[in-house]
Amino acid sequence: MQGASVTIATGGASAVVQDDGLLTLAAAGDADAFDALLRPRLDRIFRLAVAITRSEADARDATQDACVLAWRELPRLRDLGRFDPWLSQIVVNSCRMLLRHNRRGTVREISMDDPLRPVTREEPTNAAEVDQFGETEAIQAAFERLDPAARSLLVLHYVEGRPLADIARVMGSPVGTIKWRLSSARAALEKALKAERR
Amino acid sequence: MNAQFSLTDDAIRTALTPAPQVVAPSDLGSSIRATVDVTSQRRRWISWVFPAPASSSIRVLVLVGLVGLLLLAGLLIAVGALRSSKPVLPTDATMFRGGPSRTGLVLGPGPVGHPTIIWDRSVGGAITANMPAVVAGVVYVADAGGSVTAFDAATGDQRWSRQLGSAANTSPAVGGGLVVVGDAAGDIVALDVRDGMRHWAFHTGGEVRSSPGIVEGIVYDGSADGNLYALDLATGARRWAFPTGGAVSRTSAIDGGVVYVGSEGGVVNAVDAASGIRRWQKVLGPGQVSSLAVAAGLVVAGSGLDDSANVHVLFGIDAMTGTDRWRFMAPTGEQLIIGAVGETSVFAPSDDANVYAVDRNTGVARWHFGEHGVLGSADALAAGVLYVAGGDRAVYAVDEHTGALLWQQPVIGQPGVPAVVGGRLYVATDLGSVVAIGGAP
Repeated sequence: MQGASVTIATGGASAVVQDDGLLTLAAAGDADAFDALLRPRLDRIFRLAVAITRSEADARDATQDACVLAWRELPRLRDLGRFDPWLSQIVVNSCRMLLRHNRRGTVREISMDDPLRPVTREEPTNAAEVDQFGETEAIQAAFERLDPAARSLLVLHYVEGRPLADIARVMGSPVGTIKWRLSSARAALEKALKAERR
Repeated sequence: MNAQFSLTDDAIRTALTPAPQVVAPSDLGSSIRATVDVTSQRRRWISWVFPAPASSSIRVLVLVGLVGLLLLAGLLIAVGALRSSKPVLPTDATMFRGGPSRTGLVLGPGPVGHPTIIWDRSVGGAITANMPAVVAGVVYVADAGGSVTAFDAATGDQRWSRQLGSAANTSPAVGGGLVVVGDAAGDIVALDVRDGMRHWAFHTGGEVRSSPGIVEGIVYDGSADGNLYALDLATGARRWAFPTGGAVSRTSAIDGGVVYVGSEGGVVNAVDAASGIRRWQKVLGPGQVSSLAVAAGLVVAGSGLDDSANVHVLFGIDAMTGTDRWRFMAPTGEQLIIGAVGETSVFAPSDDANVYAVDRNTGVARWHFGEHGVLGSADALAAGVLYVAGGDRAVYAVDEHTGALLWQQPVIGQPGVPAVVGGRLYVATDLGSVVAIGGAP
């Protein structure tokens, strides 16, 4: 298992071949193999969770939940070649559950070091940037008004740049439904943005 | 802000894409790995049954058959259980909240009929928010005057009293012929249950206010020095010390080979009971963490228990992974602590003078008990009755399922956590009173 982990850490095309072996081992219960599979993907899925939840503390919880669930469910994944979209699907679902939870309890995870830490951005330096910065913040605030499903769709499409067919697989819905929902999510964002501008 | 700004794809992408410096926390991988190491995978039994692509209708038929068989088996088991067995609950109150899991759920029963004070004795100091231990017909209490005292549970006659030299502000834990308490001088002390003679003492670097727990010959206790200690019950020798990162002033819960400990800074750690190695850590938020309880894979903790915190949340946490199952806030936003954890509900006294019954699975409030303006401090649960230590110098008995008041009994001083054993309720108060309440026809 040690050799396979090293190969993965170097990345590149050969890593895909190695992933197959790691996946088979991980699905059979090899925690080292699962660890080696996960480490190169951790930043990507964490950023996906941050984009959806807009909170690094929530993203941490959602990522941890998703990874542990992936470990438990991996033996039931029939097509190991779909590991990455499957993992993304679990992360998205974890984020949605966590957001629903937070809404019901009307509380958010609070980090000891940095309570309610927002996703940080660099400060603007000129007038145009200031304008853009204000608009960006308004879009972010509007996004936070949306329901978890709409958030997930917008992030998968605009941030991850995934094609509709891919999103349909992740969300477990037909492409036509996803297209309609994405359009609705964007309309909801525009509506929320107008509310932010008032 | 530019009113003409249009919502373009680029604007959305720019706004929603996390900044480049946002990466997974450095310890997240190891935290996941630690959880994975203790989490079993699900077996691919469906694939064993259908190794080749089978038609979905066949799968459905076989699954329906299997579910039917399972239901039948479940029914048979349930009928058998009804006939032959009941949940195994402690009959004695060996330590704070009845046992190491700190649920407060005990076999009881409590007093039946009209509540009556059977006996009332005084000790040399206050007993604040702690519980007497009641084991084999003897009641043990530790007080702020530094004494540990044993009374005959039936008559209230004093058997012995031992002075420790500094305030003892923990509930006693009894096991292996020893009664173990912590004191303000930083010692965890073990006394002989027969005569109170000191058997051993272990010195920590800070005051011990967290009540000890005893499981399989090991004493677990936290100290204001920031450590959770595991000590050999027979000798007091240290097995391990786990640095929590903040003072431990409230009581840990132990279940399934894991110690769950809260510490200053709003942190909960799950620590392997055998090795002292951390399994997971969770930050609940600013302020102190309440005493914890664990039941059926759920850790319950209250956050924000001091004046510095303005957010007070009751957390239901997955004991295996440390992730949230649910969160509950009192409608008033006031502080919540753990009262007791029953088979369906968590009972949480709040600073808003209510006790909330919260669904153990969902975190949704079922009822609250507060019509009497009771500032509940702690509870015990036995035979369908919740016993609430009221802040108005009375003990209340409340129906576990409806919140209806069954009876109330005034006592001398503010009561701490009740111990419910053999038809009696034993409670100690902040005025140094130790009371046995029984039922009369």
